[in-house]
Amino acid sequence: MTTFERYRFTPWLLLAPQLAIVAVFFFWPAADSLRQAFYVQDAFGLGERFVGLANFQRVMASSGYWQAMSVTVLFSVLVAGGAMLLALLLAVLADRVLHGARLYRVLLTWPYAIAPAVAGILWMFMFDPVLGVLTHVLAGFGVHWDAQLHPGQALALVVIASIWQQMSYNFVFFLAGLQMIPTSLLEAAAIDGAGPFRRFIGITLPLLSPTAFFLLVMNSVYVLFETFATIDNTTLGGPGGATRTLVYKLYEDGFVARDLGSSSAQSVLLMVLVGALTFVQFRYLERRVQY
Amino acid sequence: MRYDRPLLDRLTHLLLILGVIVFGLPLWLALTASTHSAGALQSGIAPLWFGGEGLANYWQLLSQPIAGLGVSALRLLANSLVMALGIAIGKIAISLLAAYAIVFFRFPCRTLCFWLIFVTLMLPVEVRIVPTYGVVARFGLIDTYAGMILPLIASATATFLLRQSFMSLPQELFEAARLDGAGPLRFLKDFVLPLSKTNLAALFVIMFLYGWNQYLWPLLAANSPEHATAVISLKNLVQSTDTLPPWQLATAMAVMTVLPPVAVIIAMQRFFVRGLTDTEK
Amino acid sequence: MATLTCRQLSKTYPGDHRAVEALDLTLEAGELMVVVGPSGCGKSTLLRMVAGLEAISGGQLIIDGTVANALEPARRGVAMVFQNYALYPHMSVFDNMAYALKLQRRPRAEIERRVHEAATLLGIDALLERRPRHLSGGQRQRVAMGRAIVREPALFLFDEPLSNLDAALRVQMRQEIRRLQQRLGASMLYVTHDQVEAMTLADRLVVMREGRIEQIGTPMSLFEAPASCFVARFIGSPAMNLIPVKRARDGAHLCARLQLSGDPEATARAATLGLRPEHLRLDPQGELAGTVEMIEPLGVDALVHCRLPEHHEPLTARLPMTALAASGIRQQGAIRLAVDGPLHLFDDQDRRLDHAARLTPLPSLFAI
Repeated sequence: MTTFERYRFTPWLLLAPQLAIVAVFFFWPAADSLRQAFYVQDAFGLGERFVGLANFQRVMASSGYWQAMSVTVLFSVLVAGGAMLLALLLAVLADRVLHGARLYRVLLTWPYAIAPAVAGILWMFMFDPVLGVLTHVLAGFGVHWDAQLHPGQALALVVIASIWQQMSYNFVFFLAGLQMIPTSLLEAAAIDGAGPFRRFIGITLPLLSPTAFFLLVMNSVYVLFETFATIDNTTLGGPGGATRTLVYKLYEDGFVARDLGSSSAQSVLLMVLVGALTFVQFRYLERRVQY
Repeated sequence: MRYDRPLLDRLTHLLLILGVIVFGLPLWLALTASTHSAGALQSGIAPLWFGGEGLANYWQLLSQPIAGLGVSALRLLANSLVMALGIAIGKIAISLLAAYAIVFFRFPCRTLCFWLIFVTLMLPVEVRIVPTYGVVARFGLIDTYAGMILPLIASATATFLLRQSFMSLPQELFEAARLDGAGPLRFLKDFVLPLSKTNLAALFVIMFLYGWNQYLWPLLAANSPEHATAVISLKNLVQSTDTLPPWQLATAMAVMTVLPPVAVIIAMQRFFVRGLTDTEK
Repeated sequence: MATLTCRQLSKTYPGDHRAVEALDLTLEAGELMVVVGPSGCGKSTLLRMVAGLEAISGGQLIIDGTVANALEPARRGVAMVFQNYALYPHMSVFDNMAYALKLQRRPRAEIERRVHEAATLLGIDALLERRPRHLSGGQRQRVAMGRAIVREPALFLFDEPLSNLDAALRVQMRQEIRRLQQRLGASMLYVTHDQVEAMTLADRLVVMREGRIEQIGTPMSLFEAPASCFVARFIGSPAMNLIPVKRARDGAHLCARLQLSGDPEATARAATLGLRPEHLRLDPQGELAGTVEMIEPLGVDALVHCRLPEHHEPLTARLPMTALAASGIRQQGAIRLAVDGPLHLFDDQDRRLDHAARLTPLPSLFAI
């Protein structure tokens, strides 16, 4: 590959803005997190002292952290499962239609443009205890709905809002994946005697599995970070921590309780978690070359 | 593999239309609620059809300071626009230069630079939120547009997409241009930019949505209402009082907040789909 | 019009892979020199070093008396026609051709004039407003050449420019390049792997193999006196027959009853005997007797693949269809051929032996 190999200075000039911003606003804070995770600040914020792994031990020993962890995992499973199943169903349907396919695509993808914060508000309105449409529908079934009081209902509220938002993202990818499956494969299977259902199970699904795996990871990342806004606008992590995810807890400990050591340790743990997810993602993407 | 199955076709359309309705319902209800008066809303179930107070509600938000915030919705939307454009343009600009350097030059530590940028790919600002606030505060950038924008630019997604896109430009094109006498800046201006137009547009759509919809970081970085964005202001309307929230205003604000990004996504559907599937792969 | 001289020119890639090794070459002004060889022989690397697209590892590159090793590509006075044409997809044909001149900040009127002149020369004036994607393969090829001509370069470089065209168009463009070269009197360095293209175009031909020059000369001199088995196999279609010579106490034999005689030096050192398929004719008294394995009719002539006794290598003869029909020769039947042209002898290093020799049938009395 030939390049502008004679220019020694130019590439640095071109890289400088990005390197500077990444250094100041990524590596510096990340390094700070890493350092703070091993220190404890005194009560007045005047001095600090090295405590080794004590912050981590404190975090790991607190039941609050593990509650947030299990909330996050449950949240991820529900959102990923719900949003992916819905998206797959709608993508298969949209892939089938000949007329109006573009219109359906637009009408099913626009929720992606909605901020998670707004998604939370919109669904909170639907589930408002006094005038929510869905609250009244549920009351008709004998369900008394108040997300402020019921932990399960609070989680359901943010899960539904997140599924609604994330479905469109998954839909785009599933539809793209479906459209990339070579027609010749499905035709070959049809000639081999496979009916529509067998073709879907035997050919379409396996060929979509890389997309599905990718979306699984991306949905988990979405739940980890983006749902902060949904929660902060609806349930505020409550009731009783039922909707307090890892990032929400990190925010509370860092900015509300001002516990720098603990929040830094949580930051580092979160980075490790996301790093692991990324690593798994890349390993998987490497392997999928066989398709 | 499509056969003529009229019944199945009709069922498909039916299910899709059902999906469209279900996914549209939350926004529809917000739209209708925003056209009723506070009193009408308090009298029972949220209305499914429009009322007559729409103009009044929206006008109140746009012209008068919002209670508990002190600035009007106009200011909030303007702030959102500045932040979204700043993030989209800033990120594309610095990523464009960096990707160009990485693809078209050979220099010592090139691989190291690549990895330094690569590491930022999957770690959003939320994981390092506390120290990032510290750094930005140290530079005195809290409550400035720069402070709201810069930390969100420090990531590699755009650099990656552009790197992929540059590497797919034919090598012979580059060589022909060099033989014709094009230097680095010429080549960037005359070839790389015009040939990457589609990718840049796609990237712009994704980054604009990303910037407009940010929540946690502007919540921290914009302390004063003068810099607050539309997205973070909603909480004030919904959770400001112990009494019933002023839903007619909250839903109107939600509709206004949602309008620009939804318009972008619909108008630039082609670029949006491409940008989404490209940035994440 | 310029001269090009390479002195000990070398290209070494990391890992000590030598793409071009100590190459000496001079291209005279106004000459069309074709570099030919199998893929991986270093011919493209040579061309790209001349263009300045590949850094030179050793030796000197002299264009018109100036050492050009460190010159930027655009300052070498060379223009290149690429294999895939490398037309700028977002520019019209006019802008494609004008781009280099615009960068040189030529006056608008001069650019217009030069582009139109080149376009007229190539018969593409009607296409100037089109985008490359709306052109056919042959038209793209012309635009690529036009882009080179407009610059009025001292030296044209061609990197397999015809390999993406279909056979008929290739013949036509070949003739056009030749005509153009003669009309412009331009110096051209032309790289190809197609030996027919090489033979028909070249003033002089350079055959390369594994980064080295195997032979330089006019196409006919290479055809008539290939310096090695490699050149012999490469130049000429169908390829020259190369048959190993057997050694016995009484000298060199081709087969049991066919002795190699002539210059004692030649008969003593010959390891391989080369025979052009065109230099064999049907003759009931011919010295070569074999069996026919396959007949491939080409129209006027046919290729007859025979097998000689005691040899694995097939012997191919190019024979007129009429003679073949008259002789009644058929597949799996016997055939006798006479040598009707020069014999090429090569030593055990595959190098040419320039000595006269002939094949002498031994009387069957002495048959072993």
